[in-house]
Amino acid sequence: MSSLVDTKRAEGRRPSVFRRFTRKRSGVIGLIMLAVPLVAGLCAPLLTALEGQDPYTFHTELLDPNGGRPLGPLGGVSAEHWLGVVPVTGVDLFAQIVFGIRSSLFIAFGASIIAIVFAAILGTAMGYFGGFLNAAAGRVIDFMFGFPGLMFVIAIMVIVPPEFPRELLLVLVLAFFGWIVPARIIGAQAGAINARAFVEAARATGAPPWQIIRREMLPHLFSLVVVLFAMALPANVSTVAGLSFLGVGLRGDVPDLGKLLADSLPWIYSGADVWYMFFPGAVVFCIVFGATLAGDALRDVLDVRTEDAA
Amino acid sequence: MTTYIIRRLFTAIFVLLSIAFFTIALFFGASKDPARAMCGKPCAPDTLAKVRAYMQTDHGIVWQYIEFVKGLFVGRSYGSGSQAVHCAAPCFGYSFPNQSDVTTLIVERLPVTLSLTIGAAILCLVVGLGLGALSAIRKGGVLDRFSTGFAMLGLSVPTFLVGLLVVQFFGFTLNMLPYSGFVPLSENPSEWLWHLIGPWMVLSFILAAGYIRVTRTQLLGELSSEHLVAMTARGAAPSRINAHALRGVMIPVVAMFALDVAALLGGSVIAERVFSLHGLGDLLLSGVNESDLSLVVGVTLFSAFLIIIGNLVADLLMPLLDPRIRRA
Repeated sequence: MSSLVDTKRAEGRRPSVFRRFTRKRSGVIGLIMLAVPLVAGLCAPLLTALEGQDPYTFHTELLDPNGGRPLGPLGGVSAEHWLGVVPVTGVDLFAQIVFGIRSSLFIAFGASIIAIVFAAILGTAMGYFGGFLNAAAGRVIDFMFGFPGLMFVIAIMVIVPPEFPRELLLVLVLAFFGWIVPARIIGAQAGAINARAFVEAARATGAPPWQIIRREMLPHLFSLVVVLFAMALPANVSTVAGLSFLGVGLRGDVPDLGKLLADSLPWIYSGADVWYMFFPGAVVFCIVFGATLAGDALRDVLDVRTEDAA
Repeated sequence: MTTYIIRRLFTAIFVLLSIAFFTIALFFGASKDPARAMCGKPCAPDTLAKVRAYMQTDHGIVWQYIEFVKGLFVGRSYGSGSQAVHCAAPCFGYSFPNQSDVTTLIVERLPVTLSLTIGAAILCLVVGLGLGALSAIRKGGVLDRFSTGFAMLGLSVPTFLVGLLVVQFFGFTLNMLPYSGFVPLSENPSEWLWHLIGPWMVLSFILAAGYIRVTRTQLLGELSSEHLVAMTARGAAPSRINAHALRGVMIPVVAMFALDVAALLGGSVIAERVFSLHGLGDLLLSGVNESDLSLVVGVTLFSAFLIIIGNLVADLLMPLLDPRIRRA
């Protein structure tokens, strides 16, 4: 059946990117794994209203008075508390998770967009202007490679005053370390495109630089930029969660996936409440692995190579 | 060739010095006053000035930078008279809350970090090269699919999640492995090994992914290259063909490995946290929690230095592996 469609397609245009993507099973699975938590995060207030809970109310009556572990199976899963409650405080875990997804994804999106847009601008400029700019930016990139990224991010958290909004700080810090590799890849690709005949032809007709970049180069770089964004997103989600896990991420009582996992550590060590780790862990896994699968499929579909230049 | 080595050496030294400057400028320039934290509350202005002078934070950034670099080579002294403390070379700064120089604190943590690094590096190399090579040889087979999925998981899943699962599954459900702590090798070798299997598994799972991918791609490229196809056509033994192919694989792998080992030596913050190991990453975190600026800067710079040295080692090994660089 599908062969019929294929032969028809082969005679005509290449199928659309969307069509080619939906044919990749791993990509579709990845997209679903990413989309479910994403939608849950976006609709967090709606979902918690539906559940009839909020992320802050203590339900100590649902806890074992000796030790504070949740009563009932699966960490206290019930019709009222869909994913059970948090040990010791009795806060609703589902509400904590859906609001936690919100902040994680918000930070990761922000950081990825800033980093990739900056990398795209710098990389295109490196490729088009070459020469001194390319060499200078290349040195800066070499210099940035020497930084132990995660250690530096952790260290920066000490010197920033607590009044500075943590969400914004995380976005900026992650973006600061996120542009390096993409800029190098885009720069190399832009350089290769810049050397091709059609760019030369445009230049010969006397087109201004801005027009050459916009009309000739950017369309050829677009797929690469999209793929790099798709790869940056899960990496940033994982770093945000990792920082919160280490206790240097978001502060206060903001619901946060990494913080939930960090708090679950003693409950795993004692084996008292596995589900406290399992639910947030599964959500982080779905987001990160789903985004990676989808990004990988997108890379195949758009026929982008990201390994050569790195 | 000599020019190449000299140029790499100079680049490395330049990057080292600029990273040190950037770090010191950032941390001592933009941070809240570390002397105020040491002075305690209430803090009289003249006491604060004394503490500042003692900690040497009352000078400009350039001065502090020069002192830091000098301290790396000849050591550094804080304060004067009976209160003076000396920080012997190589001095990475002095941690006032710990009343110890940062170098000593780093050296104290090294056994843990070294143990973690050695095992994880060996394991990830074996697993990565092995799975990568096998999946390239049997391309499209069951093993290839398995290792591609394995690599994808390792590349994407956060370290702490893998760590938590290992603690839960091997530590608690199966009750096979201890899930936290460290036993020095000199104290009890078998316990040392036993406590490190978990962290090694976690780190090598994460790291092996890169090696699987690179080995597979690189080996597939090599095996279809003209000179190896020609060898096959001439009827050369497979072992000889593989030996030739391996050379092309080694180049990116060596570069990756040098950097990964350097990064591991600089401390693997998350794995150490999951398994309650007190290595360099844990040292950094304790510095962060105590707002101990000297310690934070010292540890960060120490691991930045390791990364640059790792990069340099890779650069210097490259010409040995790749004659094209030797000739250039």
